[in-house]
Amino acid sequence: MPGETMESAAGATGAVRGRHEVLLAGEGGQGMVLAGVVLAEGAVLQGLRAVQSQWVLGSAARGSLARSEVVLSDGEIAFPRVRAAGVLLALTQTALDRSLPLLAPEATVILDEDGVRELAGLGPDHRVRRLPIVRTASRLGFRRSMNMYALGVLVSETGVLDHASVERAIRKKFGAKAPPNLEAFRAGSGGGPD
Amino acid sequence: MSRTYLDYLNEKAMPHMWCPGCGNGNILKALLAAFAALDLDPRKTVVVTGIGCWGKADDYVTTNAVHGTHGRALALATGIKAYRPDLTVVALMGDGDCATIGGNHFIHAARRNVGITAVVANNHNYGMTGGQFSATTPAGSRTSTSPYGHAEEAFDLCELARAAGANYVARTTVCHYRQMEKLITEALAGEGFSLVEVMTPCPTYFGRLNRRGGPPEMWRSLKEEPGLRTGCLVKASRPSFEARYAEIQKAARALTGEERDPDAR
Amino acid sequence: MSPVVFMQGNEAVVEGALAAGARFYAGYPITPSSEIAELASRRLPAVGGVYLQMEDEIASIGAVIGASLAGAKAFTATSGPGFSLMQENIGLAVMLEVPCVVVNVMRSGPSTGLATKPAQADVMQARWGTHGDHPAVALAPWSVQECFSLTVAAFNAAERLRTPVFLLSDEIIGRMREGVTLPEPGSLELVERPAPTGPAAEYRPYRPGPDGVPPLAAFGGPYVFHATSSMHDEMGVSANDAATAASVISRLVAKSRFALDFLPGPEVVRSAETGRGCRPGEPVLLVAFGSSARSARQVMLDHPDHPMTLFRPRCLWPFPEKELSALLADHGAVVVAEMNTGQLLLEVERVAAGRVPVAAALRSDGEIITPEQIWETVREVARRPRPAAQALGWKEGGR
Repeated sequence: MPGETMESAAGATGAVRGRHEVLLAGEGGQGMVLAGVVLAEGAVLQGLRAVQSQWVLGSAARGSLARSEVVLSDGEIAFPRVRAAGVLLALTQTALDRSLPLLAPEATVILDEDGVRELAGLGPDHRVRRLPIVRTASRLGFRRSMNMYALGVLVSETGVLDHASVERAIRKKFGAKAPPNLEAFRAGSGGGPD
Repeated sequence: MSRTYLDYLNEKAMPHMWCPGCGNGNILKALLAAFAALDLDPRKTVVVTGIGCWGKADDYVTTNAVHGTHGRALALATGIKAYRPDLTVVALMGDGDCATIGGNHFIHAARRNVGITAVVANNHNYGMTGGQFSATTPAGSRTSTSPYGHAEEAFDLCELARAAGANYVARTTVCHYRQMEKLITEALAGEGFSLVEVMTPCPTYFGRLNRRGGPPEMWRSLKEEPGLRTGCLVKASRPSFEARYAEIQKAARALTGEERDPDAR
Repeated sequence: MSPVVFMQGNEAVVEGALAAGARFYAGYPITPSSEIAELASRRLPAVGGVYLQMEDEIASIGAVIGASLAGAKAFTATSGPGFSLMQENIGLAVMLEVPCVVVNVMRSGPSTGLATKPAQADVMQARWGTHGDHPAVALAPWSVQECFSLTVAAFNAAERLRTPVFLLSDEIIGRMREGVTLPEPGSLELVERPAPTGPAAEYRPYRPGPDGVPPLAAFGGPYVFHATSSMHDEMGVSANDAATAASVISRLVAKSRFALDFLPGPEVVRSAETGRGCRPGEPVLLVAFGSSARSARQVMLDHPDHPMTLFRPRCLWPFPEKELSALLADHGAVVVAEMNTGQLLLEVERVAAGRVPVAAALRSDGEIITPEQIWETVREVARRPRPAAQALGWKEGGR
């Protein structure tokens, strides 16, 4: 089995039971791929299993699509990609539009209210949250760690993982550069921007 | 202990396979005499060859040797030298092997300035396969694949090596034995990439197809060829790839301590 | 127990190579394998190893062969176009009997194709890519964990057999991240190439040892030796006679069979362990490797009431035909799932030899094969009448 030699997930805590699929999408340069990596690593640190893949269309330039696909589970993860995401974080219109076919009917959809204007593609059962993520991160001085701010929003809106696990993952990933990223994550997860 | 060229000659493989009038035997003797002049340890010496008449020379040496694929002698030699900088690594190639199919490896080995001595026998054509043209065949020459005259210009191998950054570049001919031995010795003794281009006649194909006469006529005209620049053409002292990489290894060892994952054991 | 670390498949290949003792890498960057080069360039010099970026893939495999002759455990990584360029010198490594590992992170082709998208279409190139009769050993990871463990196995096999060994990863496995458990340093079983013993004057670099593999010295050591790409005798000296050629070829080719004794065997996962509805002759046997096997396994998780067995070769070449053959009697049909137009399928059909129907779910548009496509094929094959003793051939599954 993939990951069968991993530590048992029996001690896992949190909201994850069975397979959970999360999409984090934006344009190149917004750091959504890395945000997915941190989310997945946080899950592993929490005793869950996780697979992260990325989907990058075009070069990392404006108008492109960069998307992390994260699968979390307290059991075996076979298929590594997303089929019916329960959570989508989308920062741009392209990010939303290209992710619609991969959404579960009752998915939680967190949208940047400046980046995404057209919501016609969303279904009646989607739980939609529109927040000024990029603007607020920028106002609070997290322009360079906006992705961690956005990840904070995602974690607090969905409760998918423990905050502490994600913070551990941020420390591992960023090493000496962790402090501003931790700050951004905490700002984002503190109930989200008003 | 003092060695002579005979200590490096695999006499069991004699007589060699080269045609009467070919200069490869002379180059072989000069190479082995240069080994003896430097008293090289056969265990610490590797001869790398590609494919071609001169590429058969590995059969005739008592050092380590590897006979690879056409054009790739320098690639193999680069791997050997990069992993074992203490070894003397020599690449023996003809003009087809080195300048034509292996041209890319040639300029990059020179640019990288990796400590290999390339001894290139340039006879202006592919001797082993029947005298087809190569990248050093002069324009207008007749070969078995340029029956109406050759439509392309030839590479100047020494200029190519100089422009690419080789530390040592020299040219000689098989008619100038003493110079040949001296230049190969100098090339072997130096740091970085070195090229000794040895002009040699191919009476069997190039000479016959271009009506250059038999071996005596070809040797005489090669000895007196007007305008042929011989001798050491470039002598620089840029650090070799191996020397620079040793610094990188040092720097990497020092750096990785800091970069360690905070959670790592 | 070691902690779980989270890393990318391509990273795990480098960690596996280092753990196996690799100290030399030469390569040319190519998507989607470049992370291997990047990490190798960072890690190797820190452990006294060498990273070389060569002018092309021909030079890369050439330098790897040179370094291996000088005593290094050496590897390179590439993708389709680069793997094609390496083929001539892969034959050189076979002929010189030089151990090395070639990682091919497969992408969609032919030619530049869909350069950033996955495929599994180099199965036959791995088997028959270089000219002439030759052995082939190719391992295929389906997880980041196996990117590590099968890289170690690839080095062990290369050193033991004195032959090039391939790791056939793909864009999905190479670029995804998941948790892996890295073994404690020193706990891995590592194989070193057979070394010569006895007086230097008596060393014969191509005299077969007891298992058919000759001992290999390293340039620069006490043994002086000669190696040639031409047909050669035990001394490594060119020899043109038919008897020498026949014995060298048969000994080289036999390495594939010998490899079966110690290479990782296929994984067999049965969904019908509950016993529900598992009558002999009924379950469908899924055959898949690498990322396609993840999709095939998902079909079993999605449909727990439908008895299926996954047969997942970890070693594609030599193909584990005995193990597959033994499973056929218990299964009503076979579904091969792969991201190409039917390469492993040929091997499965050859082994099945008409005993059970063989269908295929194939995909070669640069997208991952989905569990839904495989399930469609499983349902379709289950509806077919059972033949007396003939293959029904295959049909491309629905998308």
